[in-house]
Amino acid sequence: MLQRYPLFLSDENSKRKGAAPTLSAWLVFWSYIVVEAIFYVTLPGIQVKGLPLKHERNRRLSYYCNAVWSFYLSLVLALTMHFSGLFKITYIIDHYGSLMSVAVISGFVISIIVFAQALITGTEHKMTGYWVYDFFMGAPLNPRIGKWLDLKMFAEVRVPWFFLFFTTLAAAIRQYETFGYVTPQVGIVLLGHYLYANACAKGEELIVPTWYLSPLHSGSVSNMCAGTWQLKNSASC
Amino acid sequence: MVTTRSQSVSPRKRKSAAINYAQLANPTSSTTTPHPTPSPRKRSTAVTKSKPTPSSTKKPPASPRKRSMAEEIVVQADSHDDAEYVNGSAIANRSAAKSPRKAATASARGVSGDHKPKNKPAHKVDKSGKFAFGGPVGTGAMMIFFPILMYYLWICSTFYGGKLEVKRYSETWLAFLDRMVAHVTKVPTVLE
Repeated sequence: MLQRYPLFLSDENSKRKGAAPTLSAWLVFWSYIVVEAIFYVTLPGIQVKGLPLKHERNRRLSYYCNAVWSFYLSLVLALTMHFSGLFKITYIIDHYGSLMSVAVISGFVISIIVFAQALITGTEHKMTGYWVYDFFMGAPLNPRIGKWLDLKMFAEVRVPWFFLFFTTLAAAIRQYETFGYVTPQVGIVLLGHYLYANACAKGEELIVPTWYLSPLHSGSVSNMCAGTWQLKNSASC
Repeated sequence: MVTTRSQSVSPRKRKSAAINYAQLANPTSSTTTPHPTPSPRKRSTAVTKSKPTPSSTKKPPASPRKRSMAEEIVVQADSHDDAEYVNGSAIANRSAAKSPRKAATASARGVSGDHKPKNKPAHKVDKSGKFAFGGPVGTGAMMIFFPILMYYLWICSTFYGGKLEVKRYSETWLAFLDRMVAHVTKVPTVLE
């Protein structure tokens, strides 16, 4: 009976078939998110002050930046898990459709939760009254979980760019396992994505004073989590 | 800005509440209030903020003078709204000044205020009338069609060797859509 529902199908059956949000895809995606969140709040990093918030007497939030440590520790962890056989990183490329579905659903769900939370607690910012537009732009200005886990900062680099790099890495490893070599096309994309992810991680503290987290823009977690992730990934395919 | 109780309360709850200016000007004299004294049950949502009963609020009641000053600050922020908080940027002001028609419509929206009550803190409302990404229509289309575009590109790369798959000459649009949707929703059977 369980087999009628794609959520509970085994990996072998869902391989390269459809884009059903399988249970394993949920586990992989959210394990990744949780691990990155733990890295965000535990690994060594620096603090920077954000731009002054006009409506709060020019108070400046503190941002904790340790993406570069997160990136290389994630990379070491992923390679260790792959070569030890614990978790084959080629899962990402084999179950790309399922992961994409999970990412889309997760992005919308997180966006709705954050939006509703801001409206309930009365912390919304610059609402126009058009709810579609307000939902897209995002209601809260600086959504945070706890003291340091800033959702916009988290969704800026760690979710999309790292995952994009791991996707390309998975494609390269899959090619090597299948053909015995990596094509120059995938090689150059892997190099480019590595350089981009590395640069984003090393310059994370420069995100704070620039456009993305500026108080002028409410910013949207919806975009960050689902849209950006898919856009970047599909562009790489 | 001072965080007053009126700010921390969810705006939905006090949508109907209007600021009693006469009372703000003369907070100590409760006899001049035009409203009849509400019953204790209604008091928590009513306008008479200068006379809080201890049962209606958890905080120790502030002196009437202090409370009225705090209310005045919120009101002042609202009156500055059109001048300096328009979209939070000077660019909006400039463009509004360039085109008098736009400015007129923007100010009309601000004055009539049919979307939001006027007594909201200024930073919570955007009455500039300026929209990014094509406004509600554009953002709505992005939220609907970007996931569809992602699935389409994934279908093309996974099942058609990276070639953009278009409608075949022999099939209808409905059949083409059905073919595309089937790639996403295809439930693998146990036999496969």
